[in-house]
Amino acid sequence: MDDLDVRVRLTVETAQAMRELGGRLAGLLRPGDLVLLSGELGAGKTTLTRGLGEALGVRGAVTSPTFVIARVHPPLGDGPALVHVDAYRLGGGLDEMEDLDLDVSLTESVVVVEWGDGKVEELAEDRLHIAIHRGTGTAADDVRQVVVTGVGARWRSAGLSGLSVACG
Amino acid sequence: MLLLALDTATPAVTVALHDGRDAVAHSTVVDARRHGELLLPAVDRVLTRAGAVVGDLTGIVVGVGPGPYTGLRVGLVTAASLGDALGVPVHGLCTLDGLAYAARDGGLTGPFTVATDARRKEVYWARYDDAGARVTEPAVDRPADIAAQVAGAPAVGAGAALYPEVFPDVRPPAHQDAAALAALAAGKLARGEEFPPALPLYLRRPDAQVPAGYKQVLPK
Amino acid sequence: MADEPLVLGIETSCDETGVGIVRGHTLLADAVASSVEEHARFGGVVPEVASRAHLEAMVPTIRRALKDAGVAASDLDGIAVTAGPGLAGALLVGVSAAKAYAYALGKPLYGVNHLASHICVDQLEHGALPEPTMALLVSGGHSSLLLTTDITSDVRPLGSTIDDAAGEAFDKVARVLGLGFPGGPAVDRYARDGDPKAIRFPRGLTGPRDPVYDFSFSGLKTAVARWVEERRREGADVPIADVAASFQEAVTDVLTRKAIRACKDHGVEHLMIGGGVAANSRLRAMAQRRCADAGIELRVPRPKLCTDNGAMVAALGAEMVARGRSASDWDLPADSSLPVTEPHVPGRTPATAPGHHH
Repeated sequence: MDDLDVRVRLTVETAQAMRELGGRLAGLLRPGDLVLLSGELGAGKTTLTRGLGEALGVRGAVTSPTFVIARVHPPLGDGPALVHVDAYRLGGGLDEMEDLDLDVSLTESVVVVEWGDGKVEELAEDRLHIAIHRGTGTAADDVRQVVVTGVGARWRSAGLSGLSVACG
Repeated sequence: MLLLALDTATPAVTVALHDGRDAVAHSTVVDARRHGELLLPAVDRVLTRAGAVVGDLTGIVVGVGPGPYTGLRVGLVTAASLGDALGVPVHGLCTLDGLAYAARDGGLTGPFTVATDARRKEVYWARYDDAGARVTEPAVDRPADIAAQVAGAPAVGAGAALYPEVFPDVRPPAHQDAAALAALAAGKLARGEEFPPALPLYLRRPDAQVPAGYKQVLPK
Repeated sequence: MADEPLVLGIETSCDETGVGIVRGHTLLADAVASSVEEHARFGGVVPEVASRAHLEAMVPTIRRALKDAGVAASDLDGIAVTAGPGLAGALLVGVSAAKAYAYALGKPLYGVNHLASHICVDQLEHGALPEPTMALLVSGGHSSLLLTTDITSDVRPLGSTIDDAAGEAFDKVARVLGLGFPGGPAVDRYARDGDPKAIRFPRGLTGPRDPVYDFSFSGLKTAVARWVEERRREGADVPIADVAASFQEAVTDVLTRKAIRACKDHGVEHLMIGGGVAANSRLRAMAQRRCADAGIELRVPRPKLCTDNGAMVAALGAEMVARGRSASDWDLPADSSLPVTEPHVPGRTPATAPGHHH
């Protein structure tokens, strides 16, 4: 990571709080933004994206896109569409995502890619990396550590620090 | 004869009708996101303009790319389906050849390059000689990597216009026009020449990697 | 019966290129070209691979269906196609083909909903769909409880998965156990030799304060993976059959429990189960027993009609024709997230002369 990248660390206590974080994130996003989500299976990537989709005001409930790889949620109002991608199975990067036409939709959508690190960075110079870590590994533990890193000029004054509000 | 030409391998959704002498109607809309929605209405529009019905068609010619795959497939499956339903032949033509034909028709002389946008900082391209014949296989490359091969000759196409450092001398047309594709095809048909198959020129492979193991749950 | 609508249906929402032909409730042809073997080595469907395969298979599969049905394309009363939901690029191949055939043949085009088609297909198996019918749709991409009073116009979602689809959980658990893709049939096979009570895996969203009709399989999938990983970490053998049976028991227990609850709450006497997971033997057996106990009539189509196919699209298209629904326009889009509340995508103008828009 570059020295100029903006980084925010958060502790998220519950699934509901993860959803709310997605909602606050939506307030910062605009068409053309690329968000890369990483974290272990069950870390809460889809939960975060669900909150994001609700706050963006897009059609349809956000659920796991694993099976279909990508789902386009068109806007219900004037906002951007949400394109939700699970790139886990797409090891070879953008070539096998050609069919998704991400390059075309990115200009007018918010594109959220789970497991996209190392695969889709060339879509955009500026992007937001969100890493979700499970705390201790016991099944009952819902607490997550979230690290949000803004890469590129887009995020230097985008108000990422506001994400920590109400996160305790 | 009444030939329907269509090409969706570039941001242009372009359709034309050719009666063997002239293009009698054509329609071009540039919109990279809606090939699937725009194509059939455009076919309907050109037929209506020409006072013809779909059953009058005697053949179909389709641009086979290279071009971004999603749009490209719309044109190819539409052409194949129309051809099958009507029982008329479907001919393929390289999309770049249509642009080359239009450029020469517009007065371009001497050798030149045609380049369309392949996205992700690459172009689909081929070189043509001073008789307008293609002298390289269509390829996909980063412009900087082919600078030496395309230097010194003008270039045609919206893909070339994106990279002025490699293509300083860009000539029209910027976009594909099915009328040119139709005229090129009509000429080939009149001369009894062979057409390439109406199959997609993808040039890139979907080489998905086999995942090693599965998503871990426990932290490593 | 010859006056019932003769409709060809095209399905390309995922990895099967399906073309079916029906006359009313009668199945005449069900041609499928699958690219599942190409996807298997990637552990799931790869959209670009699927779309390429659809393009190659489209015309040959249509020809095969017409030949199998012994009908001429000119005899068709309409052409139906899955407009969504599904893989955007894959849907687009089928939608484009359907438009071209409909336009060239002068037939009306019906863009229909993939999920409503999964329900309507049962008309080919058990005759007219009772109204109302409760439908449990379970596949790799969907897990929903739907109440329909008219499959062409009124499909109400009561609940659906809030995270992973049931079939997706099967795929992921199969991957954890090293059983390959697709996971459903493999888990089903191993589970037959296992003890479904061996491990008590969690039943998602079954607490007293949880949404009554929604599903969650993400926690279950994670619990299975965790259990297996802990075993392996200890150097112990993983009892694959017991894990498969216990996982499958947890999924089918929740699915059937919620489906029957929905029937009872809404006073609905017919439950249909559709989608690829409806082929699961344990789900069928458990649903059969619990429906019998609850006095509910269960309808499950044969497995080949449960997985994605063109016949289901034709079945819904035929119902659209029979009930005089408006045809779709020539600019019908492929819609990867088409809501289930839209059983079909009607044209903007009423169909006075369906199919002859020009």
